[in-house]
Amino acid sequence: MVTLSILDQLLTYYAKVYSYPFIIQVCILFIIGCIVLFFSFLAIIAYSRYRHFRLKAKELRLLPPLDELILKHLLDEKGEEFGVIQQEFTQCMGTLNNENLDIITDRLIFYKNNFDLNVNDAFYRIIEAVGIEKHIEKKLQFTSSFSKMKGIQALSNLAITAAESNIFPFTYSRNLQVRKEARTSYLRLSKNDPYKFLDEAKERFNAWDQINLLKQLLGMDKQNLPSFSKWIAYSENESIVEFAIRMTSYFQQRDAIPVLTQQLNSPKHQLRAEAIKALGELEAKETESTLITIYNNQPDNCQMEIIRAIGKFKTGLSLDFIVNAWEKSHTVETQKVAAEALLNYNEEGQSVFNSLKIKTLGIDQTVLQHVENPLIKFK
Amino acid sequence: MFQALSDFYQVFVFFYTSALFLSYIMLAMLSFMGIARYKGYNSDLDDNTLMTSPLTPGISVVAPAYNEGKTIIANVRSLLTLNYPLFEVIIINDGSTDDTLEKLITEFELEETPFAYVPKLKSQPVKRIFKSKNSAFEILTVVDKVNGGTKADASNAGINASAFPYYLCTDVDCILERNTLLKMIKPILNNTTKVIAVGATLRMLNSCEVDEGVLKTVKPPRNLIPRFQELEYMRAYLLSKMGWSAINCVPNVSGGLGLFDKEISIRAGGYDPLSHAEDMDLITRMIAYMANNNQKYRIDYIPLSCCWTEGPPNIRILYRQRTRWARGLVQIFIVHRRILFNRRYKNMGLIVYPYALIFELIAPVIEFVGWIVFIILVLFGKINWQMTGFILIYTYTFTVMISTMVILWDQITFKYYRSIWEVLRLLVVAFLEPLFYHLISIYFSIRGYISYFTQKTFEWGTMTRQGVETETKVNVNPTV
Repeated sequence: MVTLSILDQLLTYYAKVYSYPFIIQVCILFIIGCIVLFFSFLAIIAYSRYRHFRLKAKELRLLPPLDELILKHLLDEKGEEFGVIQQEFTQCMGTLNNENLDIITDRLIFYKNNFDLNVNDAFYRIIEAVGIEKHIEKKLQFTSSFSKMKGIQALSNLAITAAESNIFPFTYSRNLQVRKEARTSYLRLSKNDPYKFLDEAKERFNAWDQINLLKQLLGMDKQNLPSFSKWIAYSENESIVEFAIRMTSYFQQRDAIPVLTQQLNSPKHQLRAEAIKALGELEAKETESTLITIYNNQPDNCQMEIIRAIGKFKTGLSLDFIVNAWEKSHTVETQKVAAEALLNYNEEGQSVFNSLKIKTLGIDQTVLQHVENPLIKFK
Repeated sequence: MFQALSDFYQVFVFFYTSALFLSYIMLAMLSFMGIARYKGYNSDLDDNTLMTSPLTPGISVVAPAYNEGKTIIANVRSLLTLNYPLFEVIIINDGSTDDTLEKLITEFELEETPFAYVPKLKSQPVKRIFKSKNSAFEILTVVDKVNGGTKADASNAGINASAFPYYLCTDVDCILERNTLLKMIKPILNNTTKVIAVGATLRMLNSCEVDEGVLKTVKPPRNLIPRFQELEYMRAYLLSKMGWSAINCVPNVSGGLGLFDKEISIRAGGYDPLSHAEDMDLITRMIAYMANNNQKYRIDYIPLSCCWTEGPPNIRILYRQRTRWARGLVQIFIVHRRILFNRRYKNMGLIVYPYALIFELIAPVIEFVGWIVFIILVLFGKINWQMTGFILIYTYTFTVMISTMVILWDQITFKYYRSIWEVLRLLVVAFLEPLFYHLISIYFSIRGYISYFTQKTFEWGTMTRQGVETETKVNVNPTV
């Protein structure tokens, strides 16, 4: 009976609302929607805060014993059996469910990234015993692209090389972020053809991709690094050429000097500037005359790199060139670069620098004072 | 005739309001996607990667100071402790009449140095440039210049003295989160399109606990006026700017916190010292520069709260701030009128400016006229109170719902408040805001518009603020 009367009332209201103008009907619909949404939002806020603080409290409780346990196994030279390790982690954390495995994974990544612990075997024992690899594998199969990306990151951060086959399918993912992360991680984890994607990549590498790739390269054994000159010579992807040029100078690959010299003919001034910079870093003194020859035909950024490179070569043969560059420079930035090259060139360069300081006036003199001032860190 | 006009106005206002609400719903969806995407594809591990990479680009932090003697030391120390591998801090003493400069010289062991300062951007003359003799402060540069009267003028001088390709513009009295630079550079790096500016959320510092320039505890302001502003800022950043960012239609990057591409901002002419809305003016000119040169660009926003600033603590100071903002908005539309509905400027000309014109510049006028019409109709007894009630409840519930949603978005992003009670304190103002604060804001906007057209000169002036809760009990007295 009660249900019937409520229903009757609702029907009466409905009939009443139906008799209102259209605009008012829309308003009423909106009002109901807003009230429902308001209470839903409140419930979500309350629930998300509850979950967050429950997890924080759990972390606060579990982290000290967990850290102790992880460190114990990392520093244990003889290495416990997998079964013993698993039992100890279960005792410490309770059931090794997804939430607990996430906490352990984060702590292991923290130790891997922040401490120089040469204990890869110990890391691997914990990962195997606790089942982290399988936990991440599951994530890669059944979760959102966000979680997939973070799973791939975790595999890479923990350097789980056995995960190569797990990551490979994502190297062709339709999701750009996942694909990039998988390809970058593949470079570190693959034993077969880690640089496959430097050969294949068609999309442009942005600055973040370069930073990420360098991070992976730094995590690898230096002896296993490839010669980057092949990508400088053959890659059709400009951003990969740029990255490879940077890597030749960073890893001091002097065998790349011939291909870097070829890059001086590149129609792209950014690539020319990078190549000149790399030649300077590699102290490729044999290219000095070539750089001086092309100087006048280059845009400002390339000219500045040429002056810097010549300054680094310090052959003692190009003092006139640097003085000339100083005199002809039409921007303060170029002047600063020339003055710095002069100051650090050799004794003769320093005396020219000092005589210029006496001869010049105004902004020219200030530039010289600016460059030699040890208080100014970023010239 | 009056009846016909009144009927037309009522229908017009209904559809205008509904269009505004629909745009909020669209922004809400876009901002949610933006926040989810940001949370999904970024992690604190990225900070570690940036901190250790030799490829991380340098950033110059540019912070103008005018008569900040009371707090300058703690604030500069706070800027010096930012987490970033390669950055410099440039403080511009804009002709302070107090002991700001003297304190800086003594505390940081500064020495006047010859510095190759090139005035690429217009500003009042620079008198001296100081560097520290103490290597612990080697990243600090202090530029002492003739007072230009505006933050824009001082910022230009700071940009001229900067060494790095990106600069972060902030106020010296703002408290920045330590990882601000790491968080804000990421969208610039992780983009194949050139990102010319990045913004992040600003919040109220009132009632927060600060120790030696470092934020210790975030709390919603106890006073009602700053608390209204806290909610207003959250809505402006998390809903509006995050939403617009998803479709590359960000109207401006706040002067309180913005990371900019130095080359593009110099080519666009830097800040305009005569503008009352220098931040929107700069973004407009940067976009115009990119459009005129057929270059693709992006302006991004990150949902994290990276900057805490003290908001006007009372109505009188709020009035001064808001009338200046209103004057700035009018000025922007007059100075950059050629951009409005101009296809050449793409999103800026066809979406951002028309939206700002219809829903920001004109909105207070429509609402103000609406109240007058409403009062007249009441006086003539022409109000259908039942229908009016529905319409008022419709707007009220929608506003409360949107504010609650923004609080939820904030909770999803990061849980800045420690307890649920602090969240509820903010929720209370969501109920009060449409009844009081919103009406005051309309009045301030109208006064700002009128003063733009009637007054010839405007004084920027200084305001005394109440200070934040600090363990060392330092008061903050920034300028408006």
